[in-house]
Formats: sequence, structure tokens, C-alpha cells
Amino acid sequence: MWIYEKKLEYPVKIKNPNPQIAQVIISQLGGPDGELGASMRYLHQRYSSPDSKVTGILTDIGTEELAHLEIVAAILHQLTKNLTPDQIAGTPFATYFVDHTVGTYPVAASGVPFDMKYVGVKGDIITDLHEDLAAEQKARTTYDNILRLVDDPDVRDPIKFLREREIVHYQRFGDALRMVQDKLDSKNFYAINPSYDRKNK
Amino acid sequence: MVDRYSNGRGMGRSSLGRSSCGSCNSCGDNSECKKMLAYLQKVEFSMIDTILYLDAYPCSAEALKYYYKLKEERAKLIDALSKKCNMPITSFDNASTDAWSWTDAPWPWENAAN
Repeated sequence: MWIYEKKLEYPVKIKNPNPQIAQVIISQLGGPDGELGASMRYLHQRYSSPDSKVTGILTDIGTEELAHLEIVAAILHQLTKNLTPDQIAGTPFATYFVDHTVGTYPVAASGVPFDMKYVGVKGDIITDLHEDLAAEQKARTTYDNILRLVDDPDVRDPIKFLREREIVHYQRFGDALRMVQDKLDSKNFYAINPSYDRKNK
Repeated sequence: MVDRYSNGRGMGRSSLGRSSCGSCNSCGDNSECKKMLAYLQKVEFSMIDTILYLDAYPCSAEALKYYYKLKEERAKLIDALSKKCNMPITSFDNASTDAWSWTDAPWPWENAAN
């Protein structure tokens, strides 16, 4: 179960609304490497984890990703809440506005709504952890791209925090993969299906 | 201030819901309380990172010692925020016996809460 804490993991205080920045940031809400996908990926993978420590890492990182989803939503909310129709008209945000007003609906920057197809749950811990390592790097690259496009320091600050967390999560998933590989026996030297194949022999 | 994109009329309410009980106009405005919340944010972030480290390195005595130091600090802050500021951090932390404070302070995504 989860209990909600009425605070952000990292503060968000944006002075100037900006529809162009909102249109870019929204990818980390509902895009292919966004925080919704990240939380769903780890929280669903954990049920087939054969190692209690790895289950802990998946649970705790999955939970932190929910906090990151809320940070991205807070950035979007503050960037769009007080925009006038004149400020929105003619910007790339206008097509989103016509469907969702200034509600925060998880879509990619390209306009495609969130899709669980972005998330892999293979039921094989080695396969899943490789996906997770790649996912953290893809999210880090997306944050790098956002930082390349966004000048506002009020937005850059929480984005830099989120980018750093991708790097830390990558380290912890690396630890998790090492833990699983350390438990492989000689028959599983090539790191294939340790939990499933062993049970069926 | 009425939000530009809300209907401006508020939600329909029965007269039963109009009691002033629990209404708190200044919740979350107190600067000492805001400082405490900002400090809790830092303490909890340090815990989140330490917990992930302990998941991977459960035998690290140094990390465990740091965890307990932060845990004590966190408990003090959550207690003070609910009792002195009427700002329960979870809905399990409401401290007032005569008012429900959970929905009084601004929500975390609002500019005013940060």
C-alpha cells in the first residue's frame, strides 16, 4: 500500500508561465521515457523478482518515480495555470490546450498519449534489469535535451534534480544486476533465466 | 483569486458543508512552518537516497548510522508540523482534536506551497 505525503520531493516555484516550455516538459509526464512509465515499469516488475534485495530496490525506486511524476506535474501546472488565451494562441501548446485546457494529461511532447507499450515487464529479472538500466539512461538523455531547450532557471533547477536521480537510479540498478549475477551457478554462466529455468530442472 | 479556467462558481455545496470548522486561512503561510517543511524536504530526500543505498549495501554501518540520525530528525519535524503548524504531512498525522487540518494547507504542486 501507499500513503500520500503532502510535500514534493524537491521544491518547484516557477514565476513565469510559458506554453513553449510546458509543451517540451510534458514528455516527462506521459512520454516514452517519462516518469509515469518509469514508476509503472518498476512497480510491476517487482512481483517476479527472485531476490528480496532487488525487490526492495524496484519498490523504492518505483515509489520515488511517483514522486518525480508529481514534480513534473507541478512544473507543468505552474507553467500553464495563469496563461491567457492570447499567450497560448499560435504556440505549439495550443493543440494540447484545445483538448485539455490547462489540466495535466500524460502525453508525449509529440502529442501521443501515454502508452504502457513504453514499459517492459518480461518476468525474467536479468532481462528486466537490463531494461531498467536502459530506461534510466533514456530518461537522463531526455532531461539533457530539455536542459538544451529551456533557459528559465526556475524550471532548470528541478529538471537538474530529476536528471541527477536518473544517474543514481542507474547505479542502484547496476548494483541489483550484480547481485543477481553473483547468484548464478555454472549452468547459468551466460545469465539466462536464473529463476525460471532452475525451477524447471 | 478565481482561476481563469475554473468555472468560478465553486462546487455546489449543501448548507451542511458550510460550517467554518476546519477552515484555516493562514495555514501554510507561517514562515517558520514553511522553513520547517523545506527542511523536512531535505531530510527526507537524504533518507530516500540513503534507503536506496542500504537496499544495495545493507551491511554499511556508516549508512545505517546516517539513516537513524535522519529518522530521528524526520520524526521531530513531522510532529512539529502537525502540532504547531496544523500541517499534517500524511492524513494519518492530523493533530488537532477539534478540526480536520489535512486539506487546509496548499497542495504541494501549487506555487504557494513551495
